[in-house]
Amino acid sequence: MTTTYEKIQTATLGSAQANVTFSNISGSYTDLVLVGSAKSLNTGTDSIGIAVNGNTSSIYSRTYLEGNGSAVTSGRQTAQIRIVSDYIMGTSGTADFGVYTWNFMDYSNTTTKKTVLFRGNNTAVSGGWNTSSMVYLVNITSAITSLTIATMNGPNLASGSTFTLYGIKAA
Amino acid sequence: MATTYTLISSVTVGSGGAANIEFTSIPATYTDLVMKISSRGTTTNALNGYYYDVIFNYESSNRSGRFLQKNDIYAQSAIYTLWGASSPSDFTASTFSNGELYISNYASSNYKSSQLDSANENNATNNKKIVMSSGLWSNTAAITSITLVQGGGNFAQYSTAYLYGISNA
Repeated sequence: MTTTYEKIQTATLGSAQANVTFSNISGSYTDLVLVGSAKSLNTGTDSIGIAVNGNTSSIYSRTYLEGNGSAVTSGRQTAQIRIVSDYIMGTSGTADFGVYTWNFMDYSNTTTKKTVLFRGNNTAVSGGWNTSSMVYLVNITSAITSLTIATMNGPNLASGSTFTLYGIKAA
Repeated sequence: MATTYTLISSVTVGSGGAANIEFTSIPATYTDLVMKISSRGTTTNALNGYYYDVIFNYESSNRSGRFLQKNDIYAQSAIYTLWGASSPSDFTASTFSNGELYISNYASSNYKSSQLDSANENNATNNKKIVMSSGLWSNTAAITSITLVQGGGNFAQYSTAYLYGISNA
């Protein structure tokens, strides 16, 4: 039987570190799935930011729908500098690492711009958006070959954070 | 090549329905769990036939959550434990909701975070929903059982749930 869902790379942080980079991503899959569970060493809340191919220029745009347990918001933003999640825990509060998933569609083609679907869940962030759904457009036509994952505000990702990158094959 | 996505077990509700869908003795050998759920309730929308709860290791306490839903009337975010949408009995015959439950690091010693995305659609004017639910089980034990509890009445015959293990090894 053909294996259609394969682990590509994984990282489990035994100590705090500034970022996790999955590099040399093979172009042999159809789609990518990134699954994360993370906290930040920032004292307040934080977000996960992902730079595609190391690019932190204004090539990212998003449409989002989010809830915080009482309010709902939606909107769109252009000229963003990373794929940004809302929200992850900082050093205060409970030990909720959350669940965050990113789907990178047709990531290795060199013709079309790249679309990313994101879902974020964290029940313990106070004052932040706990349930998030977003679509991102990454304004590049080159293949995605690396993902650099870091916090947007904090100095480091906390120990115990995990990220795993999977490849999905259509053939 | 290691297999990363493995069926652990499945349940198909038989005639007469079932109050719960239950998975037990879940091994700790995977990294994450995914459950694919197709469900319908035996009571009407007005009698809570529209949702199911998710309970880990039979512990109803230590659960918290937030959800975001859109039905045909309004969008809402509120505080509630992890839940998903069923199709109630007054929906169009033979329609079932779809849901996907994702639990990361279910066997770790951290608290357990999860997400459940689900939707029911009716091809009619009833109260159909899209629901995104975030859950936290504040317990450091490994998850060894998962119980889906239909909000009112039973899960209807032909409701199904498939539990998969995802391994990053």
